[in-house]
Amino acid sequence: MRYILQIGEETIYMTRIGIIGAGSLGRYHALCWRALGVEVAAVYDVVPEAAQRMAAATGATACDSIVDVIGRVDVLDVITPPLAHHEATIAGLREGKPVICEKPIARNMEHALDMARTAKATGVPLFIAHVVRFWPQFAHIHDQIAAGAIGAPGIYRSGRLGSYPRWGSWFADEEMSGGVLVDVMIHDFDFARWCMGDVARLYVRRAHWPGPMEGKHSFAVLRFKSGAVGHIEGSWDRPPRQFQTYVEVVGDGGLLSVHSDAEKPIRASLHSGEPVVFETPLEQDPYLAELRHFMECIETGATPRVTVHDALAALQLSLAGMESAQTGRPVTVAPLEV
Amino acid sequence: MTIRVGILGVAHVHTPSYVRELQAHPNAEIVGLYDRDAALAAQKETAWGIPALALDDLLGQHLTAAVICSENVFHRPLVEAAAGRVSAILCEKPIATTMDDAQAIIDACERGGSRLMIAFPVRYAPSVRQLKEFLESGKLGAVHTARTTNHGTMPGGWFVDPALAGGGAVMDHTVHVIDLLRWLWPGVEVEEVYAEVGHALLHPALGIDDVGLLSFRLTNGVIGTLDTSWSRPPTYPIWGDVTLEMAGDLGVVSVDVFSQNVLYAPTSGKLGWQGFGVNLDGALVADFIDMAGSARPPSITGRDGLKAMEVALAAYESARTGEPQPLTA
Repeated sequence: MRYILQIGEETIYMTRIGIIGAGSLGRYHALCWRALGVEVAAVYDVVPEAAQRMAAATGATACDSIVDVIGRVDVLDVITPPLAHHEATIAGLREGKPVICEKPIARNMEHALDMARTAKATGVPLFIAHVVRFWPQFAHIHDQIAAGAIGAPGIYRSGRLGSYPRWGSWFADEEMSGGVLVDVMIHDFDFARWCMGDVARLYVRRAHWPGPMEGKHSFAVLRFKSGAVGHIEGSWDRPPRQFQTYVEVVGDGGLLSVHSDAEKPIRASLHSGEPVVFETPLEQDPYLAELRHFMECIETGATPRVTVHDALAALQLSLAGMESAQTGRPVTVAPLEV
Repeated sequence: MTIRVGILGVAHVHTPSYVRELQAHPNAEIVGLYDRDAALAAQKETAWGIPALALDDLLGQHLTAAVICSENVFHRPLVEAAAGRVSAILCEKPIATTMDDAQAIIDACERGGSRLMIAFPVRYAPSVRQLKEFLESGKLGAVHTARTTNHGTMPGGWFVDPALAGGGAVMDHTVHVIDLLRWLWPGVEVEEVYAEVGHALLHPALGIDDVGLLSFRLTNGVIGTLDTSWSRPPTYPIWGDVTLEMAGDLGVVSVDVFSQNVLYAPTSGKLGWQGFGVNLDGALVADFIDMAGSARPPSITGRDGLKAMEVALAAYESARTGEPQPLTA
């Protein structure tokens, strides 16, 4: 497969991807790029060994700077911790390289707005990888609501419950990741906006219990501008390897509901008692679908399924949620101006 | 000893179930029924084979027990009429619709020496009993969060008339789960509640709230949410749910009280989940008749009813002011 970018008279064949951030998701993106037939040409990571490992696995060049990567590729794929999104994204956009950036768009609104403004000013495409919109069950719920299957939606519920990031990574560092509200619940804030429209106000309670069994859990109660009510919970408090998601939306014309626990097309048990875990069997990998979609948008100039504005709005809700949890009061969501 | 029971008010949808359980109980006898709506009383007289009487006549029948199943706002006058004339009173939830009425109900029973029990049947669910034992075992460690729901189907009738019900989905469905939380942790109360309440969001032109989302903090530090919405469409395979999921230091526990069902798929009509294995109203009625035949206090008190209702009122107040609402100690 070959993706083409047409700028005026100039045709650019985008066959070269540069990966910034060679962590676990970066490695997964690299696999997706290979499946899409797109070359990962260059890679950079603040940990040189990580970049070298990915380079060895993909045939890419391990670079010692972001600038070096930008010089060797057509499209930048930024999969660093959120605090580092800004630097790589701005550098790529200024050099005219379309950027695909992992969610959240950034760790703070200043970074996020600067990224959005730079994309607007340069006219270079910027995509924020809110992958939930590419999971088929979530896309299905959105499409059904959009088609009027449940009438006017009145109440939205969703949750995303996982185990504490204990692998010594930056996720557990609230300054780096934003914790449950920014790292986890932003998925649901984005999905809720996609289905229900903008949020007028939100109220958040959160619990954090430190110690050897450290856990975090937040509950957001929302009012959408439509008047509908919402409930979003996110956590890092499940026992190891557990992960659950659910969505239920009810309108005056019906109900849509899905829960990951109920979705088990294959199960197995062994006489040894050893647990058997299967990955969710899907015909199309959501990450792959997402990256393909962004490449097609670069090629055609089409509006992506998730826009920079959507990503800004989702981050705004996460940050407003943190403010509400701190003040103990509901937060009215301010108009978003880029 | 046979417990002579009078049914005071038959408007509540739970009345047929209580009547069935009382009629099946070996130690109970329903002497008569009363309702302010004479036509409704006559209809039930025929349907159930129970004499419909005037309130005073019924209370003159040497009753041991009374079951109050009227519209919410008439709990108070009926309890006040029965207090001092019957030994045991079972009052449908919510106990009342105002703090004044709830307190008056409790006071009338205390003055008259009647023992008042509030109908919170979910306490009798085996899964909920297991949850209580599990929490008491310490296996979950300290609990930090509780996500709860009491979804239902929009009941219609007087339930959606503010003058008779005192509120909609929030009034109807706050009290069961709040009662469970207070019962699971004796001495613990709701400290603060924030609520988003929606009117006619799911049922066009409904004159009352049909969506309720409460965010609460308990005095033991547990935070959580309670969804009280009438968000089950008529086609849903079951009327609703009561669920609780708690996260603690040592793990997670989930309870879905009405999840033991047989799937029934007719060739036309709607898909159904037919419950088995638990009969909560039967257990509630058996406990009430046992109390009526003894001198012991009720297992679910008027104060339990008042404290649960207070949270529903606080939720409405929060929705009115847009601020979290503290509760009195």
